[in-house]
Amino acid sequence: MRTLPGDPWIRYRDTGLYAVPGIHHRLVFAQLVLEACRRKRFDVIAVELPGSLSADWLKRIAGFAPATGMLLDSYGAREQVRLVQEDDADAAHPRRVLARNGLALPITPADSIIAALRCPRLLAPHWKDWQPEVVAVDMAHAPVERPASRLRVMDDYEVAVRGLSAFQERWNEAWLGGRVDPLDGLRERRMASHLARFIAQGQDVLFVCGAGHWHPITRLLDDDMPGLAARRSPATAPRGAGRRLHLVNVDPRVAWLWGWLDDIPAVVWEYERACVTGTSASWDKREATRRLVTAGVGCAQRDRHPASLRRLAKMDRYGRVLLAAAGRWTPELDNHLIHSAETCVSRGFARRLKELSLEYPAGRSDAGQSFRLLETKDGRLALRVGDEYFLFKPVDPGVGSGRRLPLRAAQRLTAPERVALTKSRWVYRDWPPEQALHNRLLARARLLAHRQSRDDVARPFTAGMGHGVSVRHTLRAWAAGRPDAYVRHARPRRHDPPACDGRCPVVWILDATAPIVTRFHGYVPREAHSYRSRCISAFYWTKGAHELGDSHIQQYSVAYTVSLMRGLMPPGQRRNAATVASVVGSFPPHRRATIAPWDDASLRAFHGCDLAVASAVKYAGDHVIVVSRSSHGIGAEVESFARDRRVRIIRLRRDGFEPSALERLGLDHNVPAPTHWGLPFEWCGRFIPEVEC
Amino acid sequence: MHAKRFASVVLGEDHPVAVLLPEPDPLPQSRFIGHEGFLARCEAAWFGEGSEALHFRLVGPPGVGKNELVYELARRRQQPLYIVQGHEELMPEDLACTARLADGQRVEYVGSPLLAAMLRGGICFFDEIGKAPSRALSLLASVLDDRRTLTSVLAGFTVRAHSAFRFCAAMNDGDASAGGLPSFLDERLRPAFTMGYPSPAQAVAIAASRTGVQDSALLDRFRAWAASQKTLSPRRAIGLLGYLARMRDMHALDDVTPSAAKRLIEEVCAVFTDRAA
Repeated sequence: MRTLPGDPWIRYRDTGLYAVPGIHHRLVFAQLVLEACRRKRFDVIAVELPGSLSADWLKRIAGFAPATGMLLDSYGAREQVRLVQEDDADAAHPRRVLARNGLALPITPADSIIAALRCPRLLAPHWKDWQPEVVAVDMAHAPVERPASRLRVMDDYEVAVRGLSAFQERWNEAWLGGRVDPLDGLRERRMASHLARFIAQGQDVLFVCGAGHWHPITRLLDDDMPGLAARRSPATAPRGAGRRLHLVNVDPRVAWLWGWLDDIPAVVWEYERACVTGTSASWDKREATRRLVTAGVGCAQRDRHPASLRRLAKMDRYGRVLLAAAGRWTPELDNHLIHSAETCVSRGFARRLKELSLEYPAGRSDAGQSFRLLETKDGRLALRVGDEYFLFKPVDPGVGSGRRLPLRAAQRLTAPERVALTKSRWVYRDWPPEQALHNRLLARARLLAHRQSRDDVARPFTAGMGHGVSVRHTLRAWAAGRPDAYVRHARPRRHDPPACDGRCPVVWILDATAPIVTRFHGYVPREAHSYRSRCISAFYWTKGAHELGDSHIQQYSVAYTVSLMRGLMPPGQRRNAATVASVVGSFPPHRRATIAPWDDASLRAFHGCDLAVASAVKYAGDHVIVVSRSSHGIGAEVESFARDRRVRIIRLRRDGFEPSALERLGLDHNVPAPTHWGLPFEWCGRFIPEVEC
Repeated sequence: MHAKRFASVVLGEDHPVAVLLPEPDPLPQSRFIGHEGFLARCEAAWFGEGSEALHFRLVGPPGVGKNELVYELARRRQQPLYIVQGHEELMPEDLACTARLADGQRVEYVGSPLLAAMLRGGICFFDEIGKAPSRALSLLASVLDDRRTLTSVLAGFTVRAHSAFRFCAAMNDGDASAGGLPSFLDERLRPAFTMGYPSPAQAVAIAASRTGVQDSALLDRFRAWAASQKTLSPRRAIGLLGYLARMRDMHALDDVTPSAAKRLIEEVCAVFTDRAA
């Protein structure tokens, strides 16, 4: 942490009571607790946890972190609820179950209370034989809906800038109206009673609690410390019959979504590593966030999502303004960091940065139980842990925190989907968003090719500046005694009339050097499977092919492809036998491909990318468009083949296209559809990478 | 007929030339509804002085309120707004200074809205920038980076932008996906904010506010219909509701019964959608 202004604690008068009041699940407070224990060897560590938790459970919780999880308790009577069953995979589920209200104590290393429990272990090298008494001083209670719980969480880094006392004062102002009395009053009285006894015994106590409780507790101590100290220690409430505690593993991503892992899980994990290496005192959350962005830039470059310096500078500038506007020093992940990365750099970079930010090791399965999240018919959430069911309400991370988990591809079909697939005589077809992307890129390629075949001409200026002044022609005119100004205009090339009828073949060379594993062609009418009258729409050379899960979706990594009729078919539901036949019929017979180039005797002389270009030349009108890297060379035989057939090869560089769009073009899918002319099954969208471009 | 006025200014030091600069575009005074989050983000992008301010672009389908957002920004910031309309025949000099023959042989230089905004410290809004050819946009390179200068080769001057000058652009997502902007401009026009369709309720609220329709029965029916629409843009909602109100007036329906309203909506929607075909 940067040099902390003031102490890492608030001391109560001149007593041995030192408090670290903080916000739950915020990393800087966890760091403060560790720093406090490093500076002072406390006799007692008192935490705001229910007194019903035994010392053994407190030890188990301390040993559980840094994994993320929760201690699950329950309250109230059992209630019968009806569950929504998503699939039949878990047939052990009854539809109606008896459930109790769940009471969860989140366990994450970003929480100051958990940090307090872990201090003796983490500081073992620092304080030899330090074994403070660890006490839970709160009373057990059911969760309450707080009026202010929907307030945006303040930035904990303010403590590192302004100090704990200043933060505490600001918190008190924001906290007004957030109390739930008489419950909070009772809890504070009980905690104050414990603390008063420790003070009376002359012990040095570190008290870790929520920021909202500290002032009321100090007021209680001010008013009647002797009375509180003399109060009889309240007995631990007996646990109800059949109730037991569960230590449950929670996926770190889910824990973050529920607001338990500070703003950025990867930053929490870096802090955890600093604790292990003994460098936690000098560790700084803001610096760690910067290091994360730097690492994100490196990862994105490796993943072919490069970020230019200008974009990064803009991201930094915009991010800083957003933080200033929100009154923060460190960013929220989605609202600030990812938003600025997405808008100022690119979606690919933002996605990679988010993946990196959410990296946090999953919990140890042997330390806790697993759970399953279920939904009840009335829209509530239920957890199944072992053979017990709990109604559950996750903690709200705050209005507008904008936390969203990146979508993960489904690994398998649900039972209804599998049944629908089995019952229908489904067919393969292309994936419409990919088709749309292809169409857009084809239009772009043809537009660029058009622009290439225009000539600049100079005409005397009358009105309109055209493409600017033609200095050479103007000077010549003046030298000839004609004081005219000439301006440049573009006109279609005369010797090369309108280059494109919108049907020229386009060759996309995405990876010229990759070894080819499969080749195939798409044909129209693709869905009708009428081999006798088929007409090939595209050729594909792929460098990888596999099926996604049990979905029957075929995924191909395309090395190069030739678009003949692809992109001309009417999209969506307007595609039918008549419209497809109309498109095919508009091509003259010699421009319809009926044989694949690798089976075509007339193209036997060509191989690799040259075969792709030659096949396009064979079915072209007067030109083909080849999109490739500028360094890619076309073989002399192909050029000669094109010259013989009077076909011009128009080269386009990849720079004219969005890199992410070309990258997505390199991924192609064949998907199941219920009928020949129908749209694919909707669930395919869960498996197939999104077309964002 | 209202025509934009031009004022003459002298630019250039060694060889000063008189340039006609256009007056700002009039700002519509309609009430702005929704998109508060975008407004805050745009304000954040423009925060700061001179080169600290970032030039942003808005990307989204037609009719979702990109222009309205810029109008609202201009109203809130109380800055003059100059609009450049992008199209396929735009030339480089159109963005700086063009010339015309006046009185037979005299050449008059006419400054662009961009030039006027730079000189007067206004907002320049480049609408439909995706439709402009990339060679026409090359002049923007020096405007949108730290140089903040605009050079007219034709008139022979270079101007530096006023510190209050702000720039933003809008493009349809179709143009963005078809090829987007040239890379030098893609770099400079960031952040890029993607605007989507508002919720149907918000689209109806905007339409009701803009058309002034207050008939609660008609609005309720329209709201019910809109709730089933996934991509109802405010512009389309305004058109539909306005047309609906006019149809109601034409039929002299003082009290629109649910069934009559439903029939009217179906009729009008058929005119506005593909179903008309």
